[in-house]
Amino acid sequence: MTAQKNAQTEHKQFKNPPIVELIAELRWGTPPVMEVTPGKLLELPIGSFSAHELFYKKFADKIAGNGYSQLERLIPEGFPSMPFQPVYRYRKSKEVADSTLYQLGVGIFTANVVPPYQSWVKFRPILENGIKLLLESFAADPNKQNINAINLRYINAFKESLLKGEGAKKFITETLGFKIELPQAILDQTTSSDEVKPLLKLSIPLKSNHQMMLTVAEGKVNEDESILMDIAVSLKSEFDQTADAIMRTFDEAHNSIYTVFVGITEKIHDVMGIK
Amino acid sequence: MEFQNVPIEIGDNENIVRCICSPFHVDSKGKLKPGAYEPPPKSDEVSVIRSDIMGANFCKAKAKELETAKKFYKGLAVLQAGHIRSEGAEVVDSRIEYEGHADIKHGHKTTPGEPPPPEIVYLLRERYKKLAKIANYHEDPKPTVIDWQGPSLIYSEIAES
Amino acid sequence: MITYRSSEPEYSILADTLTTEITPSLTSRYSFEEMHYFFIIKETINNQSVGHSLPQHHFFQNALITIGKEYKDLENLIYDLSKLEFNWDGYGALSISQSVILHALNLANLLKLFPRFPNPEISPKPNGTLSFSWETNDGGACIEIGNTRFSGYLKMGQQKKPALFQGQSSAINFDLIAYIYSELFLPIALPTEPLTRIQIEE
Repeated sequence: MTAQKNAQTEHKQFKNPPIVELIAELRWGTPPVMEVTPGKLLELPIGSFSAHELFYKKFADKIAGNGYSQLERLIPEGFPSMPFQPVYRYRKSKEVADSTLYQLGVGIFTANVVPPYQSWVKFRPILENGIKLLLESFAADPNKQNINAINLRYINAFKESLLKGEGAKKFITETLGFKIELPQAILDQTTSSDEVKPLLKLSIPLKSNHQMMLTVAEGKVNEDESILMDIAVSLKSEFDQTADAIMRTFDEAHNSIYTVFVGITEKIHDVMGIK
Repeated sequence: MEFQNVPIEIGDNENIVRCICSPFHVDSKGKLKPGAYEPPPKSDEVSVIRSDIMGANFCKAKAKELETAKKFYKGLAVLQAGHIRSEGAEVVDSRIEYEGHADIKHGHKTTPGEPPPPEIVYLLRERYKKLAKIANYHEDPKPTVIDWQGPSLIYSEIAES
Repeated sequence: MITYRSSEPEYSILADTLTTEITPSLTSRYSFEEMHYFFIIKETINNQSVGHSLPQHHFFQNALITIGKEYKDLENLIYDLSKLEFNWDGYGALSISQSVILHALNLANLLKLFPRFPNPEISPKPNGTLSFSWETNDGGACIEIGNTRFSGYLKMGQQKKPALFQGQSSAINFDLIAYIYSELFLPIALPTEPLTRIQIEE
């Protein structure tokens, strides 16, 4: 209940947020004893073509009840499915304007949302429902595996409207606050330190035992010139296999990302526009 | 000591030697490999020698008897009986083979040409790995000399790598 | 240039049959369609390639792709092990049968589909089987191959019990190897590709 309450706390919401995608990901996989006979497909929960198709279909039937009736196969039929690669994508029908979808593959489930992204509070029930239906789809599976890793990832793209006319280096180092001090030996070689293009990739152990991966770089996001800030929080653990327990972990991850994001973007809250 | 007076019971602190002859029992860096403690087919017993009683020269002589044109004596590996027992195997005197002979009994006989069930593969491999890791393996510095020229065959604790 | 070197002779691909694509995670994806089969390779940022393919012999007849595996070393080792004679360990060990050797070569053949899959330690066993084993800081796996059956396990460090496999040796296939590869060597922290197309300037 505390986790739900945290999730529903009134976090700041922005009219013009830089988020371009939110990905909530679950992973699982450990094979049990299996018997293999020549000519028959390997009966594995991860890797067996026929066993997986049943699982994907089971989930598809359940999620269709929530309007996600449009299936897209990402890997050709008959092609080997690599672990942790989505095989199916589940969307709402084309007639319904919706920015969310689910993906399911060998040992992996994701719930994705692209703009217009409203808030964690609005996305949370979609994620939770997907997890409940995933666990239900597992329940009838004799090769049921335990979910053992979660990852929550926010992909942000600061486009021109949010940069306040600053170049990439100045925006990253001064506005976002990632101070970079170049050695004098490099400064002596360059005509302009302002034209240095930073690319930061940080792996940060959090007090919550989660791991944060943060990437900040200049680049293109959906073909638009942007400053990319990719923040992900992950945790590998033996979770209680319930939607509540898993959602609590996602809530913790979200809180970490939210705190970092709001802190880092403080200087541009005015252009992001607080609702 | 007359061997007939040697007790059949093997105490936990007694040093037990495995003769190492195969190139497949030692890796390229001179470390003992798990295969050194595997039994022959249809058996769960690994031949070892009660070295405290029989002495290092006896152990070397027995190891040299295993040599062929293609397989050379390499050295001696020492464990205490207590180490073996703590990994789930037993060590028993088997003087019917020869005086000083003992067996490590793993409790699972292998089928020629086929692997055991996977839970046994796991159990045995973990045991072999641990025994190879904790054993004091001494490569013989002078394998062609009759007497043992290597270190004492008294087990000493070494830091796990 | 990417070349495939798993067996003689090397094969070459016509440039106009190859399509290339830069992926959102800054890898290169090369794909071509030949005889209704698909072959897709991804090249990582560090210039190592990871490939997916259907293991059909005739499929490779028009491909020139490097995966950089030490396949020849594995193959040579297995051939050497086939020459072991009875009593190779001094304690009555059995020689390795042709049947086991063939199954082992099949397994080695599957391993080459995963260029980043480190070579296993291959050990002969006294009962005439061959053991393929991998050990990492995070866990280990073992496949023991016999005349007709295989048996093995995979255990990750955080698990209390290992995952177990067994079956007919002739049925060892891509799925099992992919499983071991993904558990031991595919970083779980590696995220899935987003829907968003991302290109980072370097």
